[in-house]
Amino acid sequence: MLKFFPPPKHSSHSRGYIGPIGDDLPSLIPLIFALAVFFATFSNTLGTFEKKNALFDLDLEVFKIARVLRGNGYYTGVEAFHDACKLVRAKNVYFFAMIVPISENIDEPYAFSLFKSENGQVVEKGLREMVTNRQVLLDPRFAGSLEESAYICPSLDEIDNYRIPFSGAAYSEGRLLTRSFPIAVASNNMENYPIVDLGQLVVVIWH
Amino acid sequence: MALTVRKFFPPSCRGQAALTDALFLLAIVVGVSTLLYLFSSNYGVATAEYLNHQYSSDYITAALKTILFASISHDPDKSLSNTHEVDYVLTIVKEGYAAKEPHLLEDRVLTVLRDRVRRVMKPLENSRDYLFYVQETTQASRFLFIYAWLSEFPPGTCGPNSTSKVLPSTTVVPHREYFCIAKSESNILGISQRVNGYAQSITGIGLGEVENGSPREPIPGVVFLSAWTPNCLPQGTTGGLFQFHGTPLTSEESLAHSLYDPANPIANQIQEVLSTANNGRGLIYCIPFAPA
Repeated sequence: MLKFFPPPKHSSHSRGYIGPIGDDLPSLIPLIFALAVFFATFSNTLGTFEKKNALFDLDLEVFKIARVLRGNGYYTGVEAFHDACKLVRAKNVYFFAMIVPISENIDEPYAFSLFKSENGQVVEKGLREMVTNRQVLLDPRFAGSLEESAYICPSLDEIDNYRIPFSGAAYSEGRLLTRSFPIAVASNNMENYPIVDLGQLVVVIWH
Repeated sequence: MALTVRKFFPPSCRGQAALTDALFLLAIVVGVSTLLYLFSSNYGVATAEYLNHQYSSDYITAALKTILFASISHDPDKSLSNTHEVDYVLTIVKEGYAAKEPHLLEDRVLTVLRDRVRRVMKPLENSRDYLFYVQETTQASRFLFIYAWLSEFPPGTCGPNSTSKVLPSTTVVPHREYFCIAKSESNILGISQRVNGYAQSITGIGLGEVENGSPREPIPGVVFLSAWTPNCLPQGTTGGLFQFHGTPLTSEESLAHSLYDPANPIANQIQEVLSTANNGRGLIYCIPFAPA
């Protein structure tokens, strides 16, 4: 028996010796704590990287989409806008772009908002609602159909399908980004002499 | 080395040695974690700044194009919706220049430009300061119109001797509009050296000129728009970029007269300040505009 379990070299009354587990147990506590701290920081760092990179990706995609849709900075009619819309290729993102009118009253604050107040709560506006409420510029030549007349370019075919992660948190978490650019739009169809009005091309994009 | 370790941690103290090893590891991990945290919090700051600058740049370029493309009623008494005679803003700038002696812009043109610039820059008006000007590019390089939208810093944060300061991004700074005049282009370019997120766009135009009723060769000119993150810019006639007039203008009608007409005492006073400020290098002299 002694052949298999030889007595320990240090006897139990040696100074400082507690036992094989008792010896290592106190050192395991800072060791595990160190590992926990390291992995917590590591995962936090990774999360920050991913969040920031996601926001940068959105930013870059906005520029790509806006460059196509801005064209030469002047739209003669809604058809040209819809044609440009077909050229947009967005990777791994949802978006919609629209041209919104600018108020003629310069002292009025910039009114475009994705949110509205309902029963004391801030909720997102639907894309359909924005078109219906004339918050989107319409081409008067297509008075019958909102889809045809509205300067709107959605990444999905049906604008009713949008469930956009609109919330204050979505902005701060980098899941949603809105950028706007000035654009000139012919607002009527006067023969050879269209009225060119001011608009804002608003691009809303999210993962 | 082994001897040293044995000296400090003899076999009888193996438990303490293991604990010390673990504490060393903990110290290293805390150091590494701190570095990781600092690195992650600074990660992307330059990229975000670059993207922000890119956005400003794209916005300003689009804004200038849009301002000049936009229509205006040829008849000042009629709105766009009930007139059959419309012009581009660019056209009335040329006409307004030709009609005014000694070839300044008419008050109506100044009003239209102010209106268009304000409307186009509306989405950025809380987050950016901006400056718009029309200038002859002849040897005299006269400014025909300078319009500025500048932040008003809280008292004490932007004194006469202050250097450039940036407020935290969460602070909302109220803005005020100004009509300005500058001695030379370098006064305006000085802004770009003192601010963050500066973006500018410029385009050439031909300013019309009429002599004895017939058009002459157009005078070359430029239209310029720039924007930047609100900064506290140095003021004063010594080392300052800006000098602000105490009494605001209350009517656009008197604008050209107040700023540019040599017959006006205020205009003369401004010219005197411009010629002596910063040892003759000049500055941007601005009169606040507060419509009644």
